[in-house]
Amino acid sequence: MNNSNSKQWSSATPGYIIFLVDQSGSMAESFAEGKNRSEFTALVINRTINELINTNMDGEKVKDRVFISMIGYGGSSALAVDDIRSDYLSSFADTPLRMEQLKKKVSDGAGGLIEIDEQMPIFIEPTANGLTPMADALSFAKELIEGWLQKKPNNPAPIIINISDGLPYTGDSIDTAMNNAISVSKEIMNISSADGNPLIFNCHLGEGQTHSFNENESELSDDQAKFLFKVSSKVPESYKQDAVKRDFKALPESRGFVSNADPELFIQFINFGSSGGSDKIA
Amino acid sequence: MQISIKGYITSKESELFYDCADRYAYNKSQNKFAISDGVSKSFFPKIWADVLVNRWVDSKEFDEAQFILDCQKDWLNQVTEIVNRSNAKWFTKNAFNRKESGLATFVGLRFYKKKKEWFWKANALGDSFLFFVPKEIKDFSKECIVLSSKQEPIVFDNFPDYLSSLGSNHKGKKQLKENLMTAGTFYLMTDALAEWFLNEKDNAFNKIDVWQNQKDFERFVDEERYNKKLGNDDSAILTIKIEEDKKDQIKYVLEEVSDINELIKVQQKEIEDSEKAKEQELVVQKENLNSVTETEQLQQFEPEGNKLSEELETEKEKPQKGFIEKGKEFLFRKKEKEESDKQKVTDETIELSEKHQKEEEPSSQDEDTNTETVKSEDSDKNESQEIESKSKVKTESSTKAPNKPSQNITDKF
Repeated sequence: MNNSNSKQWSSATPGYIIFLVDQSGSMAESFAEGKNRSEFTALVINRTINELINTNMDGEKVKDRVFISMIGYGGSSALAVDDIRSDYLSSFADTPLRMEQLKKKVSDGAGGLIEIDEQMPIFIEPTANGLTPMADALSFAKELIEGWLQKKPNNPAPIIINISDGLPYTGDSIDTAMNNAISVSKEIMNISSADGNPLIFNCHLGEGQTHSFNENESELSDDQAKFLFKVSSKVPESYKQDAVKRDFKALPESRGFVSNADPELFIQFINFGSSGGSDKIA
Repeated sequence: MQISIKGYITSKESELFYDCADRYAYNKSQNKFAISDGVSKSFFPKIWADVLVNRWVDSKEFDEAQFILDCQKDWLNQVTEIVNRSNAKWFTKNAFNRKESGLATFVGLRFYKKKKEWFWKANALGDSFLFFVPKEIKDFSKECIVLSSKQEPIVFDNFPDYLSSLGSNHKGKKQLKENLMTAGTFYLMTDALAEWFLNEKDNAFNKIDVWQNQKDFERFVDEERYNKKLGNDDSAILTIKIEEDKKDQIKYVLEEVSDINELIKVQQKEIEDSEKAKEQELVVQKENLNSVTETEQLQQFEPEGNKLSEELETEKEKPQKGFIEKGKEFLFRKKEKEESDKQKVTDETIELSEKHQKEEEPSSQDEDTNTETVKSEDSDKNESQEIESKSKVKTESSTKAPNKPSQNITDKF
């Protein structure tokens, strides 16, 4: 059995998650729950980091078992690639951008529900502007991964979670932009580390026919899905149990992507991608 | 009966004793011993583990239901006190409001006298184990007594049975064993060590026998983790060696047991000393730098940015750091030093190879990577791209470069 991408996150060997966030103008399109795509994306990332904090704290202390980079593309200008924030988990916990007050219903332990106040930390704000320089964002992520592995060669292989609502576009032809993105993705997926190759998981937000975790490009009906197939890693064995637990079909050759994800699928996919492949935490 | 007790404990690699959620306790007057492993992903697990072992060994009359209720009350009081502090973190308050609970495994062992004979009785829940190895053991698999609530085949995972600090949502069924006391050794241990023990079999107790103190234990843990024989988890062990002396009473002849609270204090002191040494070093460096600057000023040279002095000022202005933050830095620096020693060799090799490459290859700096981008009215453009085009943002080549170089991020790794 292949043991790649199976190393546990720990304080001694933290994991590394890079969220690549499409912040192009089209992310302003409405999506779900009265939110547009960028707002919903920010909500999901904020919740995901909050969840990582909850699962890596012992009550009063957050353990640095993961380093997180949030890299935006588009956004601040047409072809920008921005480091929105990069830090160890405890730093996110110590200094969120701001806090929102929420009312939440939880079990009262006796079969009923009670409403409680909950503070929701905000780490990323929604942005929708500019084009979709995905290849540049992937190139930047590649630099980060190389820097990470140089300093931490024995840590778990890094994971990129790319969230976008369209094909790469930088003002030139789409084919060129796509080929550039495919080329950089392959370079990233060929980087070797003690824990195997870095992983790229892709989530596309949209409203057409949904595809996820396919094994062959020929099964896919549209260019969008075919592109995602090409820029996504094969789901490692160590992630398959977790994928199945989240109702994804994890077949031997499945690639880690969803296209035209609805809100529920989007959330499930991000939870899968940021899980480190299992619930195991050393 | 003569009894010798040894107990050692340590945290996961790169964590502090303060972070360790394993606990053990014993009470000689009650002849009771207990060990517990607070579940890493639960809420204040170390408080829960601590309450369980201490209350159990100190209890005289044992009513299990009441024991759990008393422990839960104790845990809740301690946690409430922390949550109500003015500096309580938002995630602590959130978890408390959500009524999250502490979870922990448990093994308890007690000796008791019935008529004229001594017996032992033990209970276990979760993946912490009790092993009893008779003095003259010949066949480990047949003679070693094993107690835990793990079912055969034993697989160690992160989903053990546990006792919960809230309500009655405990997981698993407690296992019991009882027997006549004979010469031999009881080993109470948490999961990582138990897994190692089961793998090593006869070798295990021979290796354990040589530990004379906490440092021996820590050295063993480091080695076995390095050799991938021991999982990177909090690790605690309590050994209770029984020897026949033909006497009617139990006599405790040796106690070599590390106290986690003492270990935390000593480590805290080390961290504070290291902080002080760092501050002193900065003062000396600043003084040296000032004297250099003064000389330079005399020579009418413009001094460059006094980064070190700024660093020192910042250090002074910073609010006093908590033990946790200091600890993190302490461990980080220790590790960084180890890594930098290793890195030095690699860097030198890279430097040499880069130098060699430079000499061989022509410069590629002339290549214009920021090629001019021209917007095309490509008919293939999808809806998204139309919106993007509408945004009419300038496609200046300068915007292609990330606004922060990757080094800003990699420096934080």
